[in-house]
Amino acid sequence: MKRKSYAIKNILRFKITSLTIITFIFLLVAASTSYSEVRFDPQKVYGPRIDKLCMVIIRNSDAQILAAQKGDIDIMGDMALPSDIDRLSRDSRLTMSLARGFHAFFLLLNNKAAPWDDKYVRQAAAQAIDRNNIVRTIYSGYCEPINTWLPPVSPWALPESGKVIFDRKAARAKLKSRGYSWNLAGTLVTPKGKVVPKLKLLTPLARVAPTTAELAEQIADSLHAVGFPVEVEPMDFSAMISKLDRKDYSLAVLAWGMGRNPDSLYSFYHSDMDVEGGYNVTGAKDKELDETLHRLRFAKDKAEAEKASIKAQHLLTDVVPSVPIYSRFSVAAVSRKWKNVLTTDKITADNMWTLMMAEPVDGKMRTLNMVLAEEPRNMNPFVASSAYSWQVLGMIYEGMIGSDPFTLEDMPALAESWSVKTSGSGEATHTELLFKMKQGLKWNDGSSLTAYDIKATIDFLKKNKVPRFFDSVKDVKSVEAFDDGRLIVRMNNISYWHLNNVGSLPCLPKNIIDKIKDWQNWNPLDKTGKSGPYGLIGSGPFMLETYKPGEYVMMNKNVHYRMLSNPKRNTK
Amino acid sequence: MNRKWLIRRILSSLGVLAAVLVLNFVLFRIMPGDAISTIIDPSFSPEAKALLRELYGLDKPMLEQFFIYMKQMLTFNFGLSFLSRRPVWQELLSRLPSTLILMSVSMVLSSILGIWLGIKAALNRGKFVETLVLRLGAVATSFPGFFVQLVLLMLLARTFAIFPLRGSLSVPPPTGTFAIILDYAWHMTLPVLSLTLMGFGGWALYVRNLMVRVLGEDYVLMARARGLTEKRIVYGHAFRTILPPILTILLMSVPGLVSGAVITESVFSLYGVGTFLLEAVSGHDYPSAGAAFYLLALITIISNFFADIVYGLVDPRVRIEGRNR
Repeated sequence: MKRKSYAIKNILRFKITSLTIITFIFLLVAASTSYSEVRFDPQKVYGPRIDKLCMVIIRNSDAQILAAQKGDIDIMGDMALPSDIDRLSRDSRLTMSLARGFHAFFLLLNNKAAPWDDKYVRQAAAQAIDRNNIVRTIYSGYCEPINTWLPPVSPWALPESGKVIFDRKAARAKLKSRGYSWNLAGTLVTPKGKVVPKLKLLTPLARVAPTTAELAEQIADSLHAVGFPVEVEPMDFSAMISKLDRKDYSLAVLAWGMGRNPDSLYSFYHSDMDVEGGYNVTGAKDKELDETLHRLRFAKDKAEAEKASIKAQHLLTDVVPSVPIYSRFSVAAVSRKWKNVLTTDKITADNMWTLMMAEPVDGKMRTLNMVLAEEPRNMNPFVASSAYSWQVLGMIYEGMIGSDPFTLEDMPALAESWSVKTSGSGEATHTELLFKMKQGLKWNDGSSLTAYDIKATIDFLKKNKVPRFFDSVKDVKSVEAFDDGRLIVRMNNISYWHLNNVGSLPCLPKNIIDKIKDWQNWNPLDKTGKSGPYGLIGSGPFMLETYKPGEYVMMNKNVHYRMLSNPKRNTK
Repeated sequence: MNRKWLIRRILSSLGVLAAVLVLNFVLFRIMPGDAISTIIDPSFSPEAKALLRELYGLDKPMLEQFFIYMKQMLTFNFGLSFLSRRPVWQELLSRLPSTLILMSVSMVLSSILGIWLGIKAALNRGKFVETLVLRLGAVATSFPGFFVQLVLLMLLARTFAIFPLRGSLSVPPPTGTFAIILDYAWHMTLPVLSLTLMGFGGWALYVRNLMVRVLGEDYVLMARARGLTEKRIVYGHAFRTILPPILTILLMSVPGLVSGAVITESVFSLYGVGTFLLEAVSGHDYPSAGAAFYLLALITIISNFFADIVYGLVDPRVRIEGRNR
C-alpha cells in the first residue's frame, strides 16, 4: 500500500515537474514575444538614441539587486540566483527579461577509466539522472533540462534537445545487459564479479559555487539509485581543472558558456584535443565521431557543416562522452522607465540592440545606467581577456559580421555581404572569403573606415600571434584589400568556420595599428603614449568618455556610427 | 634597549622576510593550475594557451622564474599584472589611498569608541552602563562582517536611502574640489560606519577587562587615598598602565588594514587593495599576488618591530629588563 502511494506520488511529482517546466518555457516565450512586439529588420534600426551610457561597477550581487530596486540602475543582466530573480520580479518598477542561454552544465565522465570506458554504462548513467527534479528543486525552474551537446538556443542544436530520457528501469536493464549485477547493499558488481569501487564526483567548493555543489549531491543520489557508489568530493576549482586535465578523476561536474556554432564540439570531443591544455577532458575517442567532427570542423560550406553537425550530435547521443544536465536561462531586469527594450527568446534585454534603441518613456533624455559586475581593468583589445573588459570594448569595436537578434544567424555589420568559396586544387585547395564592405563607414574619430583597415588588423593579429585571436587568424594565408571596398581573405586550408572567425574579429584603424610600439603593454588610456597611441578608436555605437577605476565607465554615442544614418522608422 | 638586541631583532626580521619571499614564490607555483589552465573557451586552443603562457613568462624554467621574481621583489619593480597588463606598483598605488583612508579612519574611530566605552564600563561595574557595553560588545564582535554590512546597505541605502549603495563617488561625479570631498565622505560613511560598528566591541571588552584589573591595584587605591581627582586616577595612572598592550594591538593590526579590506571593498564596490588581492589570488595573477603578499609581510614585520620598540618606550619595566639581560 505504502509502495503504491509512493509510486503515485512519484508519477504526480514527475507530471507536475514536467508541467511546470513546459509552462515556464511557454511563459518565457510569451514574455519575450510581448516584449519585442514587432519583429523588425535589424538592418534598419536607427540608433543609438541615448547620448550617454554609463556602466556602473557593482561587484556584490546583493548590492546590484538593491541598486536596481532603488532605481540607480536601469539594466541589470546575468542574474543567476532564483532568489534574486524572484526578488526583482516582485518589483513593479522593473520588467524581467528571460531568454534561453548559452550556458550548459555537464556531468563529465572519464571515458578512459572503468566503468565509464563502456559507452553503455555511460548511457545508463545518463538515463539514471532525474534532470527535471534537479531543475525544479535547485533552480526553481529558471533553467531547462537538456539532453544535447549544444545549447538549445543555438540554431544548430537538434530539436530533440529537451527530450526526457530519465528512466531508471531502463538504466538498470542496460547495465544488466552488460553483465553488471547488484549486491545485497544495492551496489553495482562488475561482470568480473567485483564490486564497483567508490567513484568520486569532483565539484567546486560549496562556498564558491553553492548550487553546483548541491547539484553534485543530487547527481550522486541519482547515480546511487541505480547502484553506482558515487561520493561527492568538493575541491578548489583550479585543483579540479588540473585533475581533469590529467584525467585523474572518475566523475566531475562543470559548466561552461558555449558559442552559437557547433565547431566547438570538435574542441570538446575530438580525440586530437585530448592533449595537455585541450578541452577533451573526458578523453572521448570514437572513430566515427572523430571523422564526423573532423568533417564538421573542416566543412567547406554551410550545407556540409549542417550535415556534419546533425550527425555529430546524434553520434554524441550514442557515445555519451559526458552527460548534459541543464542549461540556465539568461535573466535580466530592466527599469520600466525605458521603452524600446528588445528581448527575444534568444537574447535578454541587456543587449546591444536595446542600448541602440532605448529611449526614456517620459521623453526626457538622460544617461542609461547598466551594471558592470567586475572591474574591466584592461582596455587593450589585444590582451583584454575578461568578459567585463569586452562588455566595454564590445561597444567600441565591431566586426564585419554581426548576429541577428531574432535568429542568431549571421547578419551584415561592417560588411554588407560576403561569400565563402573553395579555391585551388589538390593540396592547395583552400577556403577563400570575399567580404564587401559597406560604403561611407567611419571610425569614431571621423576618419574613413576602409577595407585596408581590416586588412591591417588581420595582418597585425597574424604577424604578432596575439593569443586571444590566434585561432581566428592562424590559417590566414593572405589578405587583399581593394579601393572598391572588397576584401579577399585566403586561408591555408578548408573550413566554413573561417567565415565567422575572421568576420567577427574586432577591427581597428590602420593608422592606429601602425603607431602601436608594444602591443602587449599598450595602454590606450595612457595619454603619454609610451607604448602606443592614446584612445580607443573603433566603429561601434559608443565611444569611451571616461573610465574611473572602481566606479564607472562612461560612454558617449558615436556620432559617426553607421546606423545613425538609418531612417527613423520601423522600431517600436 | 641595547644595540645587540636591535641587531638581533633586525636580523631575525630579515630572516622572516626571506622565508616569506621564498614561500610566496613556492606556494603559488605548487598550487594546482595557473592563470591559463582555468581558461575554458573552445575558441582558445592549446596552441593559443601556449602563446599566452609565453606572454606571461610562465614557459620559462622554474629556477629562472624564481630569479626574475626575486629581482622584482628586491628592487620593488613588481613587473606587469597578468590580468591588467599594467605595472603592479601602479595598480597598488592607485588603490592604496582608498584602502588606507577607509581602514585607518574606521580603526581610529572604533578604537576610540571602544576604549572610551571600555573605560566607562570599568568605572561603572555592576551598573546598567557596564551591562550595556558588555552586551553591545559581544553582539558587535559576534556578527559576521558581510552580514552587518549588507543589513546596513539594505537599511540605510535602500529602505531609508540616506547613503549611496556603492563606490566612492557619484555617477557622474560633482564638480569642484569641495563638492568632490563631500561626495567622497558621503560615500565612505557607510563602509566606515560598518567597520566601526564591527570593531569597537572587541576594543570595549578588552579595555574594560584591563581597566577592571588595574583599578583594583594597590597604587590606584593609593592614588585615591592621596585625594587625586577621578580623572587623574583613571587617565593619569590606570589608563597609562594599560597603554602598552593597547599600543601593541594597534600596531599589530596595521597589516590587517589592508588584508581586512577584502570583504568591505567587495560589499561596497570600492576600488582598493582588498579587491586587488582577491582578484590576484583567484586569477592566479602571480606578479600581483606576489607583490601584495610581500608588501603585507613587510608591513607586518615592520609593525612588529616597531611594536617591540614602542613597548619598550612606554613601559619602563621592559627597558630595565633589557638592560639587566
